[in-house]
Amino acid sequence: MLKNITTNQIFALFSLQTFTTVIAFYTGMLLGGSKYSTPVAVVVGALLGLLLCYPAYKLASSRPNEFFVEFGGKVVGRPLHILFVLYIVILHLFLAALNLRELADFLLSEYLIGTPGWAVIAIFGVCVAYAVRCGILTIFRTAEGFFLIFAAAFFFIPFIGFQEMELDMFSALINHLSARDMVASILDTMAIFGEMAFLFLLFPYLEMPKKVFRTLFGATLTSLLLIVLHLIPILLTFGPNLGANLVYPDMELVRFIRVGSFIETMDPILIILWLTSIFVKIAFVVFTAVLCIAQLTGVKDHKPFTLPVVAFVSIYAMSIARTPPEIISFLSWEGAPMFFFAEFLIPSFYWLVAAIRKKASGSKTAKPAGSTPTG
Amino acid sequence: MVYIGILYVLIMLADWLMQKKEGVQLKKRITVLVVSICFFVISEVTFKLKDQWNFIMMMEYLRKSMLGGSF
Repeated sequence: MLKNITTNQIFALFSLQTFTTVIAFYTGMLLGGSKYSTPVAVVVGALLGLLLCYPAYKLASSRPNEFFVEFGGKVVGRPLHILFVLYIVILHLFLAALNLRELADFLLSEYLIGTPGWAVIAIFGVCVAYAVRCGILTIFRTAEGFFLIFAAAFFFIPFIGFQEMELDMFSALINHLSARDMVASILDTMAIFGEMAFLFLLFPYLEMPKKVFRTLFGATLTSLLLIVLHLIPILLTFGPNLGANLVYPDMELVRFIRVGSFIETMDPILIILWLTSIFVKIAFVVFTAVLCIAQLTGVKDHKPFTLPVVAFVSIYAMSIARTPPEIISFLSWEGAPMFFFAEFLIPSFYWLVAAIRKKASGSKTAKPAGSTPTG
Repeated sequence: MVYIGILYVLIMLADWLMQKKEGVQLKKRITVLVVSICFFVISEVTFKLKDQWNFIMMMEYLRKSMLGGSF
């Protein structure tokens, strides 16, 4: 069962989940914070986000055949380790519920008006439960299967709306660059791309763990290309003020560029792309949480925890926030530091402690050897 | 609230029976049951309080009160 996730599958899953989440749900938030500086801020934030993943990668690759939840206790002590793992689990459950709620809000406000929210969440929850119960390989294979078609679709959509863009506005992307505006989007993008760090919880499943960072770099570049390809047309079509006030700017872009042609029918295609990609992301996040809980409690099989966890995520998705703006406000302010703690600070702490311990044990073993010749 | 209870009872029953069928140790079955009960209680509490309080509101309150809104 272990050692069967290929680099291609990792690349597909992380690219898919990153560019879809940003394009579908966070474009408005990013435009509101950084205006014309958003594309540059996203590029900088993504690269810094990848850098955030480095401690997690180094920590996991020091013991590629052991799960972090199992070996972490030997590094920092069991009580502290349990606290950190619980934080990571809670964050994963929160993230899954947040994405599920965003998806439900989108469907209920645009296409399933009048449908009870619980019905949408329940149907989606059943699909997620099935995927998670099937295991990690199923989730990665799903991502691999979808990736090529989805990436191609996301790549070509902005070009269709080329004629609707105000191309004269293009120079504003350079003239209106402001470091002050960029800060907000850089932090948010770092947190989103930093989610790739959570792969350190699943290292024993990977076929080639040493090549993971290179794969994540490729996934970052691919996601960046697609995100920027959507951000620029949104900016050039709606401008930063209207773009920031739209809840789903990319959806509006697809609707806006119909001009009486066949493009109007692309609306449902976009929904298929979003729904499926977010499904893969939620399944992955829930699986990671379920696996951590199983390992923490000493139950080797993750399956018995799947249904209670998915039920919790589904119910929590309904009560996570009162309104969609509350979610956006949270992500703009408190969300990023919460994610940084799990993505960067926790792995860095383990990495540091492991390095100190290694050095200490190294000097202990080196002393007698060094003292031998002198007697 | 009642529906959440029914859902969790069904889930716990199904998990218990499936594990019993697979011959899983009693200790592990009880562990799964305890974790499920914890999730059930948290689900009920968060759902009951959804209009008055939620985690996002708590974080906002902490930011504004403890950090004086400077962050």
